[in-house]
Amino acid sequence: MKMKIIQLLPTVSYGDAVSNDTFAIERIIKSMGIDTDIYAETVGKNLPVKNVRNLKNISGDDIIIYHMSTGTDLNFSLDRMVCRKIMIYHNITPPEFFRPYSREMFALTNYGYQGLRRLNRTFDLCLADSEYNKSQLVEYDYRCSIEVRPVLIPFRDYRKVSDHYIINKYSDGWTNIIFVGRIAPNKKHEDVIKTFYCYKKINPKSRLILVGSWTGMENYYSRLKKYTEILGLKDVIFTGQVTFDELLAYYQVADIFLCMSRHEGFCVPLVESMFFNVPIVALNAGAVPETLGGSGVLLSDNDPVYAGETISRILNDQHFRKDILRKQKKRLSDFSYRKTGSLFRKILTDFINGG
Amino acid sequence: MNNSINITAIMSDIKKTAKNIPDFENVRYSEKAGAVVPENPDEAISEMRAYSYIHSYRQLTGKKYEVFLKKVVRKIIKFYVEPIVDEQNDFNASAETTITSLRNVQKKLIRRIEKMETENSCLVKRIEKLEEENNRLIKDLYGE
Repeated sequence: MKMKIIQLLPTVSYGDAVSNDTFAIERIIKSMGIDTDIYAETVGKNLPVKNVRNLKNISGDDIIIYHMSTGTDLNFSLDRMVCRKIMIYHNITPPEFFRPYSREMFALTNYGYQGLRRLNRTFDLCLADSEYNKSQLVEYDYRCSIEVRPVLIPFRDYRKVSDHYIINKYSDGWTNIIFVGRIAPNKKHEDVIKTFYCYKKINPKSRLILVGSWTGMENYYSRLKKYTEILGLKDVIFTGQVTFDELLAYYQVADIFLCMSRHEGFCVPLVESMFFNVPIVALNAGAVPETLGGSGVLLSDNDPVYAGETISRILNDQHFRKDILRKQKKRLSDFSYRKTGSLFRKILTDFINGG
Repeated sequence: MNNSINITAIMSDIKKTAKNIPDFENVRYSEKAGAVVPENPDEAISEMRAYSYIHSYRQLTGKKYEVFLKKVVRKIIKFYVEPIVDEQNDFNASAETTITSLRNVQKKLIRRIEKMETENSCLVKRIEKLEEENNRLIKDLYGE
């Protein structure tokens, strides 16, 4: 029977990093001439993905690539599937972040970590998006081979036409500071807002654009909204869920990408900012320093005064700004689709031949 | 971007006032459904503080006529709802003060118990030593 590679994940939706990685991997597998399919528990509209209920007839020659990023029943049924298995670990947000805001997310992420512990003897190979993710797998006693490979980002999609309305609206000479990421407590939007509060004192003609959905995090979102009211900040924009062309437009109007996130397993928006030549200011936490790889500006703590000062310096000192962009461009080349794609292809080929 | 402004002066001004930037942890928010009570009592108390003040006012949503209808209903029941909310807030404030002071008393008692436990274990050791000494003296006295 012909070998098949099955990608398995809890949710596939349009635009999220894990789903994008899955589709990119699918393209690579197909280019290798191997039969492949994607199965998920929850599938977004019009996506070429099958429901996991229809996953049957797995042969011993098949390979399952499981994308681990949250709590799901799949974590507890995988070891019943008799075939070779690879896990791609995208990281799970620690439940503690969600405790004050969402019982569901707290339970879900907690369930995710239970699954992560349960699966530590299930896989023949693990792939981690970063060394940071790898260290977590080691901590959870994963003894199989663990390879680090960056998320696959198909940059050609980023050359698509962006939303003109947004570009016109925000190309008004004001400074646009952006952060891209779902509204979630681990991303510490409050620290981004606090930093913007300090920066706005230097440059009143500036705005903060927080791009990302708050679905499921309504409590946190309402608290952030109140915080901006207390600080008297009028130019903080919460975009909510955006379409891909809108996302491209926000990057195009951005002057600074500010990330104060406390927990990231990779942080795709950092690479996206590199692609759009947006200088990055980010807190040294999680996998952020690793993804930046010496580019951007890394903040040692979340002091808003220092962060605000840094932003001001970047925007005023052209020399400094150019130097940052040069380093970011260099770093971006490490994430080129060709490089990350061939790395994945090599890992997969070695696994198929030797595993 | 205005390059002529004196950033250093502004920054030193910001640094002075930075300590007074309102803390996010103190921001109250009413939609607490879904929150998970922390295991740490101090965290639970600080969360309780964030939730303790409630508002009767709600952002009205819906179609124009729905919002209008809701506004009318709100006006009609205002005389009835607001005093209840005020009373609830008074109760919440006193409950918050009571729980905080109880926690402080609990902390003091925990410290006292810890101290007494240490003293107790010292006394037990001392008694054991004295018993040993006593046994030795009895042995010497009766020549056993």
